[in-house]
Amino acid sequence: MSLLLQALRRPGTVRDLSLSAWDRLLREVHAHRLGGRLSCLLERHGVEADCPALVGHDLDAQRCFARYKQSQVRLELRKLNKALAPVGVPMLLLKGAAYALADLEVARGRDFADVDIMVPRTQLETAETALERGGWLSETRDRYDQRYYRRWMHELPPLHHRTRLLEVDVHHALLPLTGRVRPDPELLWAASRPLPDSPYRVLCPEDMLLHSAAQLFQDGEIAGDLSGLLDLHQLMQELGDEAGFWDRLLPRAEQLELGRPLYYALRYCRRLLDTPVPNEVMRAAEAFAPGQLNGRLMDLLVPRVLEPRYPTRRPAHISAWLLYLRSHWLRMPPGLLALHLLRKGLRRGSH
Amino acid sequence: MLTYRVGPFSVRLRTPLHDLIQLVRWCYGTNVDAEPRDLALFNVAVEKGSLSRRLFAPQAVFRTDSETPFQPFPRDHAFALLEWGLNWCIATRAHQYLMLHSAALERDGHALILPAIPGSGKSTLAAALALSGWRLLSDEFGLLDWKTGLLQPVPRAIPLKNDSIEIIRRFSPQADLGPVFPRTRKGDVAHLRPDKQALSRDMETVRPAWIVFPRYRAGSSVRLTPLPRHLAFVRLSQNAFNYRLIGVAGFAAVEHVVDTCSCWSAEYGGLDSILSALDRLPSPAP
Amino acid sequence: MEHTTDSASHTNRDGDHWRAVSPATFRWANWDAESLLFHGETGETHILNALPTLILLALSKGEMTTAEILALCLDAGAPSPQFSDKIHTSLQTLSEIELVELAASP
Repeated sequence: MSLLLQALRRPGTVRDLSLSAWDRLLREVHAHRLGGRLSCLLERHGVEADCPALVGHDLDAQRCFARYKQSQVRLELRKLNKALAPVGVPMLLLKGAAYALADLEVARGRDFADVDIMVPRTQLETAETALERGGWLSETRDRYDQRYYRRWMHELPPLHHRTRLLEVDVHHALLPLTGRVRPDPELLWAASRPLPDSPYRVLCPEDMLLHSAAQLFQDGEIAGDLSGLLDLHQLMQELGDEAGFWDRLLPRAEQLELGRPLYYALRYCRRLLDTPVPNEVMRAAEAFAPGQLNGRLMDLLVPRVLEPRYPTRRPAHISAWLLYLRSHWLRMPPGLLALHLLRKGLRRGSH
Repeated sequence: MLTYRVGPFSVRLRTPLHDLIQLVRWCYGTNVDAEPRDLALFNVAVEKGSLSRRLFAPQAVFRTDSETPFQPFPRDHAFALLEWGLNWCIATRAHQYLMLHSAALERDGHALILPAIPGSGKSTLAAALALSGWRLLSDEFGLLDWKTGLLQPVPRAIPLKNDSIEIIRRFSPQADLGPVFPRTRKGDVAHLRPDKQALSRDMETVRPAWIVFPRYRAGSSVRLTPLPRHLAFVRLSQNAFNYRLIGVAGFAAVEHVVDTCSCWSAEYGGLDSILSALDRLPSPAP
Repeated sequence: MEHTTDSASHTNRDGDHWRAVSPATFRWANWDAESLLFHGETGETHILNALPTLILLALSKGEMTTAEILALCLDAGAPSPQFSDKIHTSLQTLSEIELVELAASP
């Protein structure tokens, strides 16, 4: 088993690592961009002092990506709400944005590339018009691509505001319309909950987990997405504490037609990360298991592709950061740097 | 394989290029093989590049564990490539510091920060100061530990470009310059090696005392003008690579350093005059 | 700074209730008449002069109506009647950069 998987599974075991094992762990962590999350986990388990100083400083430093990104997400959400609330479009937060704003454990040290929100399908056009008017641009200009998204996808083509870098994905369903499985968005909306002291809603705990499972095992490529598996692991740990969560989970999965991805999530979280899934839930979930051959194949493949290795693709925001650095190094005139430190509007407005 | 220390960072270098290893040993002297080999922060390689290309023009490629951030360099420029690559590693990882794009030097236990702006002549100035009794803390990165407010040395070779090479040769016969790499993407480059003191004291942190924003203007006489603190704040935060990324820590660090240092903008036309002006900067009250 | 459609920009009535956005995440540095403000909620740094600083400091302590803010500024020594325009503009700009927001009227 890889050292990273071992460290995520039982953070306490890092106490016994040799220097050369730390060396290897550090490389695996960076290849998966999990430094911030591992740092938070080690702290939570009271073992951060057991890291060699060099490793402790390095992991700690990676947490700032998460904090920075989360403040950008909060800003983007406020702007989205200002555009959507006046036209009566409610916002349901998905994935990282939901974890961060709901202040879940899984958000700690977690870095994310974009903001995902869901709006009711019936109000999709209203939302699109309002966002366009508010200064969000579609990254896809191509007519064919636009048509493709509208016809087949569960979200609008990615948007970003013309003055900001963060990508916004506006969903109207959880999974692509092309897929065999299409959970009914009405059901998700009906069960969603308002987020206290905010204008946003989030999925109910079961749906939150099911969405995360669907993303990794239905929609995603699985390969290399250890961070996706860690999401599931941490969500199960935290949401599982809520009374009745495990009892409601399986019937809900059936209702949303997400039994299969849930089965995989439970199975591989337990297998790779030792997630505390109650035995009776695991047994009942067997009803969603694939056929024998398929199951064996998945058992063979999933652990292999999720095992830490060096990914070839980096998250979009890291690329943006590196691009920013590159531009800094190419000695751009300071005025062109994307620092936005001085808000000219404010000065103008206040004289 | 070679392990060496660059200030607080440890580097493990794998390369088949013997000339490169020699240059690293020449430059980092006693800090080579000073660290345990088992654990290193930056695991890097400088390789020979693809065979097909090699036949026409020998190349060098810089790699970290999982990425190749730059286009290949001509083989002869491998050392410049390695230095540039380590800058990259530091800038993408070392967020335990507010990373100023500044030179930093020490005198009598106080640090001088010289932020780089285009046309500041920062490297030439840092080289001249390092050859005039100041201890070199860094040329490219002013590493401000935001937990303590102290500057962490990271002594590196100072890359001198074009005319600066001759200026520094003339400035001091002791200047220990490496080979000139002609026609790199920044013109001719030669590296001034950090002296023994800079290398051996690279873990002694220093409290910043002065921030001077230099601007070179040919023929100008030296003039130091006090800089209002709010402007120093804005300029210094814009000068940092990771100001926004580290959030409130960056704000607090810049506030503190601007508040406790004397802040100046300086215009100068010749090395001697700016050097003596910097020497005369009043020491902070103990 | 770009102007975008903003619900706050259309309605500037004296009875509007304003509040600061997450004032617990404000961090100030003050030198002379210029203030620098770090806003943890959005991760942005702002440079502010006297008027918006005064408004923000007041709103950090609790909600206020536009009329109350105006009274406060006049109290602090602000001159002239057309000053109320400046306050409206300031509030609007502060709202655009997410430092203040309209609160639901009690």
